[in-house]
Amino acid sequence: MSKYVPKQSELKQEFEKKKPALLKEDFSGKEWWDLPVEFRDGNWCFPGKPEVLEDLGFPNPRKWAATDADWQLPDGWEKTIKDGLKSRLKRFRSFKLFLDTCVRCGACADKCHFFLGTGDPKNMPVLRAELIRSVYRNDFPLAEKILKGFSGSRKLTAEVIKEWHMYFNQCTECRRCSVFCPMGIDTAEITMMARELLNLIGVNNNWILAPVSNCNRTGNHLGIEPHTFVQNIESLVEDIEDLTGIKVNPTFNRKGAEILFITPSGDVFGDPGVYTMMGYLLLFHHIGLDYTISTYASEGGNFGLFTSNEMMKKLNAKMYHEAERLGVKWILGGECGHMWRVVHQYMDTMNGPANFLEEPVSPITGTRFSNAASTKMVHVAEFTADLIHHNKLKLDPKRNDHLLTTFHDSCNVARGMGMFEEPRYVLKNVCNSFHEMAENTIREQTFCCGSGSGLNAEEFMDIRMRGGFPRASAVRQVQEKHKVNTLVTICAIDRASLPTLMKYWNPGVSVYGLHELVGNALVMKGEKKRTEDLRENPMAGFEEDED
Amino acid sequence: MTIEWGRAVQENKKEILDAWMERSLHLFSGKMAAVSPVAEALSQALGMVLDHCEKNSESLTGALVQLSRILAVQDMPPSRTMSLFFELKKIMTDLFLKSAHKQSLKPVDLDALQSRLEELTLQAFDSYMMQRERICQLKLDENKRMLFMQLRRAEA
Repeated sequence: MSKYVPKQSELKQEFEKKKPALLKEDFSGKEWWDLPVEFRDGNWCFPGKPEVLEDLGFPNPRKWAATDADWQLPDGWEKTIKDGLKSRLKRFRSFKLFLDTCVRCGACADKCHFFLGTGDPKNMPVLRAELIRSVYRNDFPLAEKILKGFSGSRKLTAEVIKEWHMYFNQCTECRRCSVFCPMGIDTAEITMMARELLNLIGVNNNWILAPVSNCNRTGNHLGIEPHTFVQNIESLVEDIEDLTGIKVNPTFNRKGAEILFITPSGDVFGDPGVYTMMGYLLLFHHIGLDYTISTYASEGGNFGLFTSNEMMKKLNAKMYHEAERLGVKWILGGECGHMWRVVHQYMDTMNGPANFLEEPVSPITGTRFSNAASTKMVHVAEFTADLIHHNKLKLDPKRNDHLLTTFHDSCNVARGMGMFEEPRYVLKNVCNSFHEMAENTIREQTFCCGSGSGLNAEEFMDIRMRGGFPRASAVRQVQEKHKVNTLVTICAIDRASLPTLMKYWNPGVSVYGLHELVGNALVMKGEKKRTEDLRENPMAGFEEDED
Repeated sequence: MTIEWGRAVQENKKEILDAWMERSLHLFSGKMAAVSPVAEALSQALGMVLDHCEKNSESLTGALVQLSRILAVQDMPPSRTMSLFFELKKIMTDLFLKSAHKQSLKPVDLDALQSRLEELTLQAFDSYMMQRERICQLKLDENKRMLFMQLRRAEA
């Protein structure tokens, strides 16, 4: 029986406690902290499994559920949280500033996709931050302590921990709110700190910690071992040969290759990521790139970002250790979201500068990527845009005529590193139909998919659909106006989560990686007549001859 | 032929919709801002249901799907969601029995209205369940997509 089917005892409890009835409650005039926190199936993620926590050496491994009355918090958990908060306020000046400087202007309130999609006031970034700020104010700044009761401060209780767990897991760290904050407060960093604190007492999310543990052990989120990783890619190589007649030849762990290519492991095992992988393989073959793929640094994503600074640093270091071991000149990175946030914003001060690598130079065009002088890592969209700009690719955009596209800016790449034009430039060169979504839903104002930052768990589906509502609404507008049927994106989490979001809110819209469309459009030397795209769907105008 | 109660509903649509929307926000236990995209979408869907409530049609089905798609992913049990339609019944009964409209609707029209609202409630429940089933299917599909290469190898 499905794990989602409620038990009879739960239903009985629901009848007794909740007493199904016509609507009577009136919450007007109540304070925000009086609104009850209620965990129900669909609005919480399964906690980390004990064995996962043991693997990672994380505290308080146990079996528990957010719906339990007693969360089995460890003895002295209040002190652990307070000490943890104190230590982080000291270590991260930004965190202290963000807690101190909010003037509650409310500019962020209606910018959060979770607030827009749920309507829940505690999802206003200002109020979400207040969940932790109210505790900070109660225990730390002296003046506020004296004015206790007037300053919105409150005691740290188990209920507060439950509230943190609910609402800091209804923030995808997308940073849309920070774009609009006049004080420059980055609520994502507050969420990161809150999640670190919760991890200290064993309040966590298995969909984040299991990939972290897997990555720690095998080098990728799903825990794929090296031989399976190779077999998956070889299987895609066979698919490419069947479709195009071209045999591409990726190499693995090859010392002395010029470039190490690292992409999210979703591109190697999941649908539709694998079609994006096929696009990369075709592209690299097309230009004769001297590259290798590592079976150890087999993951671009970094769920450490959603866990703790230390874990993020450790998982990021793996990529650079492998680049050094293989003796490559620089790293080319695939279509990923948070991998790029970590590389662009944190790598340099965590593990950099990577002086054992060279400043990236495209071996095909000679372009020097001075923006990657420190990280030595170039985004594949940037790399491909440069190839197209120098007329190095033979492309037939008509091969994508069955796809009427729009582009979803992935939060981490768009807001995190300011990459807006390169993917659009590539997209416009590989297809003939492209329509932008509304201006306030793209580029730096892009809406999150609703499932980022490790919240893509299936048991969290209800909240994900609500959090993704603003993005889905923007897609629906171009679907209705321009008959758009293809949502293109450059993030593995988007490729995993947006198909579900589209099927729920906007049936008829499919999700594609940018380089899948590149792979469709590439005219390969010696290829056979192409009639199908990389998904084996017929390409409009390229049908088989009837005879 | 125009149904009497249908005419009365359309004539008083704004009043009914405002009251229904106000009650709808109570569904969310204070956790739904009245001015938000979801509240707006909800109001639009409720309005569409009222527009097409007279008889079964594709438009009515579309309106119920739009409404249940929003409601099916909220933090509340199905019974609470369905109470929305009992509220509609109450709003209309109050309006047509206690106000000047009383004269315009004969008892036979009021009976017809009650029956139709009960029918609508059941249809809304079916539509709600369809969305819940869809959520289950989406979970299954997502798992399959995540394990795409493993499943392919297993099948081969």
